Order: sequence, then structure tokens, then C-alpha cells
Amino acid sequence: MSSGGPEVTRMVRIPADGSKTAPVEQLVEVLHRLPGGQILVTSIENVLNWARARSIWPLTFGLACCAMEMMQAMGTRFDLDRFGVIPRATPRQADLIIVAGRCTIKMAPVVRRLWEQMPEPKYVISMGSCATCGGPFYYDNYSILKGIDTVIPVDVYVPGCPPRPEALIEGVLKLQEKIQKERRLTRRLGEAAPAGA
Amino acid sequence: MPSLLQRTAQAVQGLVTGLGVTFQNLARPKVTLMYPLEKSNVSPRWHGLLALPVDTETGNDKCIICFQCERICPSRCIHIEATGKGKERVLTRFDIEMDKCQYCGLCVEVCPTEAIVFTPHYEASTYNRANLLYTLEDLHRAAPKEPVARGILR
Amino acid sequence: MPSLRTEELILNMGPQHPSTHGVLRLLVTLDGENIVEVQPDIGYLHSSVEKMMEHRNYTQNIALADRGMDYLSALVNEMAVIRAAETLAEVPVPERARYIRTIFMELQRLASHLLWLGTYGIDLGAFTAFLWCMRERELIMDLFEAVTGGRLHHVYFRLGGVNEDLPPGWTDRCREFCHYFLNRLDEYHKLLTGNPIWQARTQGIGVLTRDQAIAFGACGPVARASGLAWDVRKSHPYEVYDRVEFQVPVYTEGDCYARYLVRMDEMREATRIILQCLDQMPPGEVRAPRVPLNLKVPPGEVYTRVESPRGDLGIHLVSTGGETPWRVKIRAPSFVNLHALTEMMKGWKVADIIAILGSIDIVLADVDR
Repeated sequence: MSSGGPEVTRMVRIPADGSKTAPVEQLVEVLHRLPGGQILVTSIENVLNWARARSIWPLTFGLACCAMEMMQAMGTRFDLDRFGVIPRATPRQADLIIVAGRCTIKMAPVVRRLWEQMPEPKYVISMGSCATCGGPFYYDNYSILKGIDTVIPVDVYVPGCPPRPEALIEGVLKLQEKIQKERRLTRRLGEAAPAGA
Repeated sequence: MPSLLQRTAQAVQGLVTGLGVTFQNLARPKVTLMYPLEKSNVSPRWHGLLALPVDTETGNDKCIICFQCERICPSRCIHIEATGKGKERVLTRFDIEMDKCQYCGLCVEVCPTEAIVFTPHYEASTYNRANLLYTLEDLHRAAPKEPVARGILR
Repeated sequence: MPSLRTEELILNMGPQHPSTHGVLRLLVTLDGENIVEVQPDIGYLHSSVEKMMEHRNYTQNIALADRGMDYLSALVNEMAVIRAAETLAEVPVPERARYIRTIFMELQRLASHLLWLGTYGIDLGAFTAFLWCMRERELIMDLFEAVTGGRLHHVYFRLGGVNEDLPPGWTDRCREFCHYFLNRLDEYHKLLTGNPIWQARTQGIGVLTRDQAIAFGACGPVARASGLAWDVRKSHPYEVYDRVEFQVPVYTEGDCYARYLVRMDEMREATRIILQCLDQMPPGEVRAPRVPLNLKVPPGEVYTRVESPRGDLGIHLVSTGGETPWRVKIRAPSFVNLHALTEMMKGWKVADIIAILGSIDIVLADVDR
């Protein structure tokens, strides 16, 4: 698995026809067995990761104050579009959900559903103190969730209250690094033959 | 109600006016900051990450363990423990939960010895939330080499 | 031919919707294209600020008021909380601090209205407005950052003054910005005000009459667009608003376009106030001596109000003599304006929901607290 981050559980989609592996993964297995196939598979994976990391489309989803800094980051001076981060209005088209701001217990199921509606691969950035652990609203409070990672798995935490737009961009760059290191195509191969790997 | 033709003409006229204003901006200097390559000068008062500078003369902490920052912190994210009595009191624990911190600056304001300061840094994104618990060593390491933070400058 | 059988449709809008400016859920009852009824479902951002304030002393409440209440006008919230405590404790405030507070509140008003204009532009399909407003907002953020150390949340005002004096050269920067901004404001007018598409989307849409505005207790630009000349800065002057000259823009149409014009004029007036304050500002101390951070406020009750960018922001503070307030009640302007929304929307088309909702400039943290 990828290094440098916490192991997060991700939903693995099981095809409807009952077979254990998806067609893409079967193809990868076949390619992997060919002579020189390992180089091919990892190269394809690198290209895919490169493409994925350079076009992270976030959901336009703001909860509270940090959403304002997120808008500033997408605004003129910081211009997140330079990194291929183009906001999408629907979770069906999004790869990334930036949880910007405090999340209430009433809002938590909604966030969870939005995350579930996003197609794989999907990533989560927790922006600001409130999304990370409740922040200023941790004590004496009955309504704020103590961290968004109790609801959805978080890839990158950006501290700050609210973080500067630069800090958010740095978080996005960290996420790009993480995506670049991912082994989505070949991870099943490692599971299938742990002794050989 | 103006006719369709009139309304269309109006819309086109509005579009042309708007685009004219827009195109004036082409000649203006660019405002976009190429962030990872060039960085903006944050103000010396910027509420960045917190740090505990070490006294350069004695090599000890400037903290006199008065617990004022712990008391004033609205997020209650500073945890201080000390052993010993009187002048031999030694700081054994000084933790700041940077994920809970709200960067309000009240701790820097109340500190009588300027032991806790803001640094002009803000980049601390991490993959793991546990990294955001800054212990005494982390806070020492984060301390600015030159007196740039507000607590020092005043 | 028998008439077609029709039935009402209930449409759920939000809580995740790019145009709800937060996490508002609207239950819209539709008859075809027409809106029959709108019911806002709030509470998605309830942060229990009023309860938390009872557990924190007055200085810590400043930090909380920044975040927990209307986060787009953080400094105005600070002012509201501080004004209540200062009125009750009779804390003296130096003259210079009063001027600095006024300047910062008006800068905050500019920043807030700019963000509203940008997002309202996106809602109605004018993306350029967003980029330009963000450009100008960044300059305001720079001004804030140089003084308060924060961009969005400042914790700058203190009981009996402000935290620190202005850095050298800041007043010139601020003056320069004001003159620059007035030119940009003319550009916004050129871009949007005369635009027939913009007018078609806003003129005559979502009318709130003067009587309705009074009945709902609407305040701020929403009320002023309906012909109700009500501004706390004029009627109950605080800080130095009685020493500066400014107009309260009032329009009588009560539609989205009038609300837009009120805010545009308010930005011009805010710039005027800043320039006057910069000229009048005396030198001297910015913080009253001997006001402890954990000030004990004498027992009593007080209701104070300030004019936030969204309207009349009131704080009802009850103290029993301790370091912390016994009870704080926040009268949030967005909350009352949201109720006026239910009346504004009746009878309009689905496409107008966004235009009407955006025009009242709602901040959900202010509604839910």
C-alpha cells in the first residue's frame, strides 16, 4: 500500500455478476503475467496516477468559515485552477471533497451521503481546526461533530483557523503527492500473491 | 413590453459593454501569485503556527510556568506540566494541539516572558492527525531563528 | 376535453447546493413552475454558541464570536459582544480605539458585501464579478492581516480598546486602497448595473413591501430596499458613527435589484466613512489601562445592537457578576431576513429561487448560531 499516510478503509466495489475481481483487474492480472508485463502495468499506473493527481475536481461544498478561504483560494490571487482543481457542483463529478468548516451532528449524515455518492477514487481534505477535530467548538458544545474523520476517511489535514489559501494549496499539493504514490491497479496483485511479493 | 428585437439588441449591447470592461483588464498587471514557486510576504503580525523559542543566553526555556496561556486559551489546547518547586521548577510537558488551536493569539498576548510566539509559517498539512500534536521538542524546533514573530517584536 | 390532472411537487433544495450560501435546506412546494410555498429547514450549522459563551470569559468570547456567529463580519460580531460587556461594565474606551474600530467595521462591511456580490454574480451567471470581487477582497485581507494578524478571524478588539495600534504606514495604504476601490466600484456598476440580463434576472423579482418588511422585522439592506430607512448606525450611533457624515441608501422597490443597489451604495458610503475616520483619527492610546482580560462584569442586563452587514445585530447579555456571562442571546439579522424569504418567494418561478435567496445575503452561521 501507499506509504506516508494512515491506512484508510475504502469501499471496494464488488461487481454485480458475483465474480471476485473487476474486468480491469482481470486484465491487469493477465498483463502482469506476460513477460515484461510488470513494467507495463506500473507504467500505466504511473500515467494514471499522474493524470489523476493533476485534475482533482473538488465538490463545491462549504460548511462554514473555511469555505470563504476556499473561495479565496479559487479566486483571483491564488487560483487553484492552476493545479487542475476545478470545482464541480455535483458529487457525481467530483474526486475530492474539501470539508471546509465545522460539521454539525445534523449535517454529518449529509456529508457521509455526499461522500458515498462520489465515484472512486475519492479523496477528502479536512480543512481547518473545526473539521479536523472540532477545534474551537470541542468543549462545552452539544452540536458539533468532533472531527470529520469520525464520519468519512480523511486523506490530508490542513491546520489553521481558517487556513490561509496558500495552506489549502499546500494541502492539495500534499494530496497530489499521495495520489502519485498510490498503487490502485497493482494492490490486488499483492494481495493475491503475498508470498511472491 | 419591448419587442423581441429590441430586447435582443439590449442584451447584445449589455454584453458588449460588459466585455469591454472585461477586456480592459487584459492590459492590467496580473495579480495571481504562483504560490509554490513564489510566496507572499505574510505580515509580521500574522497568526501562524505557534513556537517556543529557546533563550539564546541560557539555553533554557523562557517559560516561567505561570499557566496563564493554558488558562486563557479558548480552545483549551495548551497542556503544561511541571515538576519541582520554586526556582527549580522544570517544564516536563508543553503540548499544543495544533488541530484544536484557533490561532487567536490570546496566549501570546498574556505571556509575560514572550516564551510563546507566532511564527510566520502556515504550512503544516499532514496525512495523520497525530502529527498535529506539537510537543515541547516540536515547538522548540519550530521556533524562528531570527526574532520575526510578534511576541518578540512587540 | 377534461383538464389535466396536476399535483403539487415538493422539491428539496439543499443542504448541499452551490447556491444556498451554506447549508440551508429549502422545502419548496411547486405548482408546475410556480412556487406555492417555501419552508426553510435550518439548524445544519447550529454551533451552540450562546451556550458556549456562558462557559467562557468575555475575552474568550471575542474569539468565539468571530467564528460562531456571522463569520463574514467577524469584527462586527466582536464589536457586538464587546459593546454589550463594555456598556454593562462601563469600560472607558480611548478615542483612537473608537476610530480604529469604526474603520475596521467598515472594512469588514466592504469585504462582506464584496463576497456577496461575487457569489450573487455566480448565482446569476456572471462569473467575472466573482473574480474581480475576490481580487479586491484580497487587498482588504492584506489590510486586515497587517494589523490584526488574521485574515478572516481577527480577535482584534478588546474590552476597552483594540489589541494593538496600527503599524506605521498603514493609514496611507488604507487610503490608497479606498481610492482604488472607488474606481473599481464604478467598474462593477458598468459591468452589472446597466446590464439588461442582470436587470431581467433581478428587477421586479422577489418583491417585499414595506409593510411586510416591518411585519417580519426585516433589517439591514433587505429592509432598506423596501423603503424602511432603518440603520442602527444612524438611529443608535455607537463608536464614532455620529461624528462622520454618511448617507443611508434607501430604495422603495423592494425587489432583488433594489437590494443589490442598496449594497452597492453601502460600499460607497463605507469607503467614505473610512476616509473620514482616517482624516479625523487622533493619536494616542488604543487600549484603556487596567482592564483585565478576565474582567468581572457587574450584575445586570443589557441589550445592545450594532449594524452588521446583514442588518441589526443585537446582543442581550445577562451578567450575575462573574467572569463569564450568565446568558447571552443573539438577535441574528440573517435569521429574521430568512423568514421574510418565505413571503418574498411566493408566486415566483423556480428559476427565481436562486436570485431571491442570494439577494438577502444569508449566512447560515448567523441563522443557526
